[in-house]
Amino acid sequence: MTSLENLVGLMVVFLTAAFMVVFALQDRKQNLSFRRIPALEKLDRAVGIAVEDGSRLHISFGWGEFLGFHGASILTNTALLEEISKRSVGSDRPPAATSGNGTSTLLAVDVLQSANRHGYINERMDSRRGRLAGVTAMSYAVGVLPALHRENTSTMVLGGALGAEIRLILDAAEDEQVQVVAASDSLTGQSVAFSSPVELLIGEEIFAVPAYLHAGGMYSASLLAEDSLRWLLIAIILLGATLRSIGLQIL
Amino acid sequence: MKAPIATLIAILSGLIVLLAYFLPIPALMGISQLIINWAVSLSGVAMLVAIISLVASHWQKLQQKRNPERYSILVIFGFFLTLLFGVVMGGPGNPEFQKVVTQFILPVEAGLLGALAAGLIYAGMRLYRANRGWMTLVFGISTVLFLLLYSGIFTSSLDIPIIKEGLGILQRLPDAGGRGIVIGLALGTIAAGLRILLGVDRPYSS
Repeated sequence: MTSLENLVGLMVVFLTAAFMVVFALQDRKQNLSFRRIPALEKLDRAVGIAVEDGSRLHISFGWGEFLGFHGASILTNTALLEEISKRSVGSDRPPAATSGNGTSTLLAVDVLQSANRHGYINERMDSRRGRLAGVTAMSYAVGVLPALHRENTSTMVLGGALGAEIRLILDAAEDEQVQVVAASDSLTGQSVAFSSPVELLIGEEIFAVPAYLHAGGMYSASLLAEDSLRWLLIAIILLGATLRSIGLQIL
Repeated sequence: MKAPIATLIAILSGLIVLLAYFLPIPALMGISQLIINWAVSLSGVAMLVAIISLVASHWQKLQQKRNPERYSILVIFGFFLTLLFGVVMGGPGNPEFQKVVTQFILPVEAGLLGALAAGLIYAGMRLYRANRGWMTLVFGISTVLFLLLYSGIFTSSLDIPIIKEGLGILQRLPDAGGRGIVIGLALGTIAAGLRILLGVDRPYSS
């Protein structure tokens, strides 16, 4: 990278941090409000219903590597699992998680065990609740299927890296009448899920899940920071395109 | 505070790796590389633990009193058979071992791909069931349009400059849309990383 690119990169990071701090302070004064995302409203309701009717919520972390592009969505799923575990106090069937990677499997198991220690989960923890489903795309998709067929799952959140193979899971979920919230971080996965009758999160909406489930003020602040930066980027792209079209090239 | 030492280590490590990425200071880059190497080694160990957990979970499924999962015996048997072959044949680097494993994996994955292809066609035909209002129509029309565009039937037959320009603009549309989504994902990734650096997001137990 050139020194100018380095500088711009650092500026974006600092700007995001500044936005997050400002919005977090604002959130302390009055709760921040967001636009409606129907999929997340339904997920919020599904958590309560699962506790009441004794069914299970399943979080799929995807098969992506933690040390790479998919790390952020794995972290978001971890926060989601933590929040759902907290809300599952008294549930007969606490949440379960599957992943396709060693690190994310350990993170999921750690979150569930922590919830167990704090008394949010009453069930005895064993390796079935947080497990490795498969390490390749196809084996992962097939490894998730038993959670739909045999584990009394009422809602499944399909997060992380899931490409076209998401179709196999969606078909099985439809057969078993399991409600699905598709939150894949892959463009292919999102477009395949779009053609199915499931709740769908597109693009950066996948990072909004903890904020919409009220996991904490900083999640709301970081969501608004993302939105602000996106508008800033749109303005910069439009300005750059206009300047270039009239023959001015700044960079 | 939740796990203060772990939080401090996470913040310091994250800051060093982030700064070394943007500021080419040799000392900082050396420490950053060391931290990344540790992370890679630890993720290898994590995979080993996850694989043991996979076998343990299938063993528990097999032993559960209500509805034992009999197919789990196949997973356990397959795992130990592969492990035995791997040890006898000198590890995963052995080309013969890779050949044997590939001969099993390829047909299974090919079969799944076939099922997936059929599933995708079926989903495309029942697109209206997705119930996404006017976006269903846009999605359906653009799928057909871009299938035709990328098939190349227009490029060979039409040599009119204005149509070529129009087709060029249309062909760039999916890239533009894709970039928009990827920019959103990148911003989300930055925010997720910063939550770790600020000690807000602590995906490790207390």
